Amino acid sequence: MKVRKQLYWEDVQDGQKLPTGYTMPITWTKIVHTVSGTRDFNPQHHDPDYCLEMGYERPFVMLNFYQGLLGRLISDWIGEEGFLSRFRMEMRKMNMLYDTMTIKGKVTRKYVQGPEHLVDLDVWIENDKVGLTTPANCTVILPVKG
Amino acid sequence: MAVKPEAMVEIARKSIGLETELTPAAYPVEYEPIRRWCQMVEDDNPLFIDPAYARKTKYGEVVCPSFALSIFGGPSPGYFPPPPPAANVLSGIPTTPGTSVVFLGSDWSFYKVVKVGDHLSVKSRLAEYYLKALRFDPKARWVRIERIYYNQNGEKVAVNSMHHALRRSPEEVKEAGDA
Repeated sequence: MKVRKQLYWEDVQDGQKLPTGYTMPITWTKIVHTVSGTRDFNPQHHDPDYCLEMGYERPFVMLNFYQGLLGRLISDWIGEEGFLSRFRMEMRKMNMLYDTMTIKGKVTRKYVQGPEHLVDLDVWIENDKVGLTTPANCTVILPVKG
Repeated sequence: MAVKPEAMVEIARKSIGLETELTPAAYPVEYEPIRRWCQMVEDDNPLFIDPAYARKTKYGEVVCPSFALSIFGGPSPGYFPPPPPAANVLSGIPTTPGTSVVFLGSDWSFYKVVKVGDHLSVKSRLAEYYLKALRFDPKARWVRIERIYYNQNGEKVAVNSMHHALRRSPEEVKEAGDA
């Protein structure tokens, strides 16, 4: 376990890429983790026979997994004193068993609103086979130095 | 004969803005579901998974990752035991046997940190229900449902707006004369 480095508003640059991006292969074990973590027992997320019957080539992962992946990207970056205040995500394409997802983000705006020091981000999930699947944007509140 | 999408929209419009009763979750926010959430996304942040570390921080307890709120707000699909049907904000709106759900997205607003030991309550509200074409169904019903989360002190901690579409099977579309 590693305590996350604290990010301060003054250190954020417009347009900077988030250094906390990562990849996530969807293996059978990961499928098990997603059912365990989300408690989503819909069969299209874990039952290959059901998926074929319904016209899907393979099981595909669920909304709460996407949110969790993007949430990790954000919380790794903002540190313990940062706070996620707003989030919007679109599900445009599926991520399926044996795909690999890459989770990324960048700063789009840095500003002050009332007492809050805010940063807007674009964050997203790319798939190694079909490209961008899950675009999202959010606003975080960051601490200031001193 | 299946119910026409236009008729469903008319029925749904009467329910827009109505809220379900504020319902406490069966269990409080607990360590183990958070640990399993973190295992899923391979997040080893000690604030989420190490009680001894978290107690030394300003939060004083393990923090619930933002989106893990949803697993403490009530039953998920296939949950045991099954929830009562009245818990569904769409329960008064007729549907068709072949209807399938397409998830489109999710919006969140967060207001307060949630920690282990908090006990959440949730109410739902039908926010939007309208017709818009999707592949296979020119009259798919687009739905937005809001879930509002409160803590044990009655403070609003988050609002989640879920967007999904309900589409008919090609056979139902054809039967209704909408193909």
